[in-house]
Amino acid sequence: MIPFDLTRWFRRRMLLLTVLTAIVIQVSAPTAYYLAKRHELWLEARSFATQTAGLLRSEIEQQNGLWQYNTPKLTERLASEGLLSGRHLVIRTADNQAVSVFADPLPIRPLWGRADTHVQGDRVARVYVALDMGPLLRTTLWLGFSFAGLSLLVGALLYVLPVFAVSTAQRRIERLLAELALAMQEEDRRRIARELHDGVGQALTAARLKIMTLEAHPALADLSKLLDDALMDIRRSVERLSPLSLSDLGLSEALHRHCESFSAATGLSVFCEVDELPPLSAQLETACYRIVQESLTNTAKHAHAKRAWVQLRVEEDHLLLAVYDDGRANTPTLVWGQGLRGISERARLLDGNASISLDKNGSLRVEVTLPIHANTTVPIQKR
Amino acid sequence: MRIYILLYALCFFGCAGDLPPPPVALSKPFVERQGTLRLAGTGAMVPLAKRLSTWWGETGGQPQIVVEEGMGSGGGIRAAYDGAIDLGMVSRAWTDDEARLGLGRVVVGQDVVGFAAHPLVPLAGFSSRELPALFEGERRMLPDGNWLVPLLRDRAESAHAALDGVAPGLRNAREEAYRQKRWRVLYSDSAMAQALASTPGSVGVFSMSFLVAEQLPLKMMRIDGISPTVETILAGGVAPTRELCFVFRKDRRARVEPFLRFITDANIQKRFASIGYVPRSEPAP
Repeated sequence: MIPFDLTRWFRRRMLLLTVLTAIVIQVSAPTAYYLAKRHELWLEARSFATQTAGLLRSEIEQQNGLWQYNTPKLTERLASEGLLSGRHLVIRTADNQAVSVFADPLPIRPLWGRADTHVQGDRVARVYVALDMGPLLRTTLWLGFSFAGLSLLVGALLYVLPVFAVSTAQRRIERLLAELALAMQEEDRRRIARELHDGVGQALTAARLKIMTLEAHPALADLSKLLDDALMDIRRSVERLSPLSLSDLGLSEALHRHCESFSAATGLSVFCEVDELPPLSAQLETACYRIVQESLTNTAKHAHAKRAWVQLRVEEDHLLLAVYDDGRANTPTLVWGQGLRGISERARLLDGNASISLDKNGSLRVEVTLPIHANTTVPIQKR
Repeated sequence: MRIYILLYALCFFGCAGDLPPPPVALSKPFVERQGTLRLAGTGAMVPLAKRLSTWWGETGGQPQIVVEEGMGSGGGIRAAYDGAIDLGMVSRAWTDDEARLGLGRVVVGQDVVGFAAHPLVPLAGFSSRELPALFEGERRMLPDGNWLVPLLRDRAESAHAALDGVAPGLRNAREEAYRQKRWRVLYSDSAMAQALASTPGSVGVFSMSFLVAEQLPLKMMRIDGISPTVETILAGGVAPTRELCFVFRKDRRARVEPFLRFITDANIQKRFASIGYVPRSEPAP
């Protein structure tokens, strides 16, 4: 496990970026549409005001100051040409007197355009035209809703995809580190075992041989016994640290040997059943061996058992490893110590799973399923 | 969410657009212009008013009469009410709103209305049953090979009311023609006169009094064999007519009274027929 949670860190930063992006997506297009269409609407209003102002000019030139009384005909003319539909028209004299016109009622949300009528350089009238912005606002709102959906979709993709990638990367890094740690642990164990075997073991053996060449003396017999015990302890330690039999004899024979030696050492009757095994990777063999080793140790320590069983079966492309006993362990004694955690961790690193349970009688049962062809990144060297 | 609302508020309030019209300024008090009597209103009365002005001048009447171009009966009523003119010329009945303005009204005569046509149209007239079909879009070829081209006056034209009584169905046909934009619409008598004179095969609603008074080169069409002329009316015949009257603010009665008395005088009324108008039938007020 990496102490620094990369996924969580990345998720926090991506959330802010995603929210900002979603807001920009949602706001930008409807706003651009609204501004462009509003400008277009304003140009239309102003264009119509200019057109009306031009028509008004010819009326004013004919009417000699009474033009404002003839505007109903002008507006009827505009209406008959369909130019007043949906438009509110206001005409004012130069001194801002209202001129009677007939036009559609003032819309709730008007957008005004205006134009002046000049006669001989003087402003005589001003024409105001109001267009309804209601439809534009409604369309913009609908566009806003549509883009809200789009922004949610894009935001979700923008957030989920990188976070998923980082999360996956973190899991792979964690697994790699765990495999590396395990490999280093195995390597250390092998080194220590080798040093004990080749260094202290050889020295003690040499001393034992030297004593045998000396004249008989009661003290020498005691000394020889002590040396034999020490050599035996060293051999057991070497076997525990790095099972020499695993690389020399294979998993099946190594398990049988370990069960026998464990039985001899602890007095626990261990029955070992192993199917005929296909060629297995060094990681898988080591994992199986260590799981059996740890499970039996656990049984011996906590289960108050007289008998234990080790079964290793091959089922399609999986290994099914089971270790159980006839013990009477209390449920509270099944604490997840380093050993049981190690079993689960080894199974997980090989894409397998481990189940550790106590049945109603207090019998400890360890069941591990391991794929035969697991993907591992860090190899464990065979001796 | 707040940013969203803020951005939309900025867009809503901060965009291009002209300012709305300011509140209307207070009306200027009417300044009575001494020295002239200003007349304006329906175009149908413009030739009559000009002739009356001439006759008024010949008798040394004061003040001088100024006749403005036609701006419709409604314009004449509104301008008279505002005090912009002294006498409004009206060729139709009041609307309810206009009746509430409280203006004085003096009927001065009638004009005869009917259909005028391009001078070369080879037809003498129409039956009243034919008239609606004219505006319903029926394509009719004239004996000279030209198509008959109906021309429309605007909806506010007062001659329509007089003609609708002659030809049932004409009103609906005309309204349909407006909606369908089937024919060209003219907005004044002078514009109609110009259009009729310049468009071969054209026919349209027109004031016969205007035609006679202005001596326009147009052809008067009979309706059911009757010529819509002053002579027909004076001979006791029936032709579509409309009443012509002057309207004025009652507080100006004293100012316009001499002129009104002049035009309702029996001697002046007798001269109406010579310029194409029918004299008033009621006695002088």
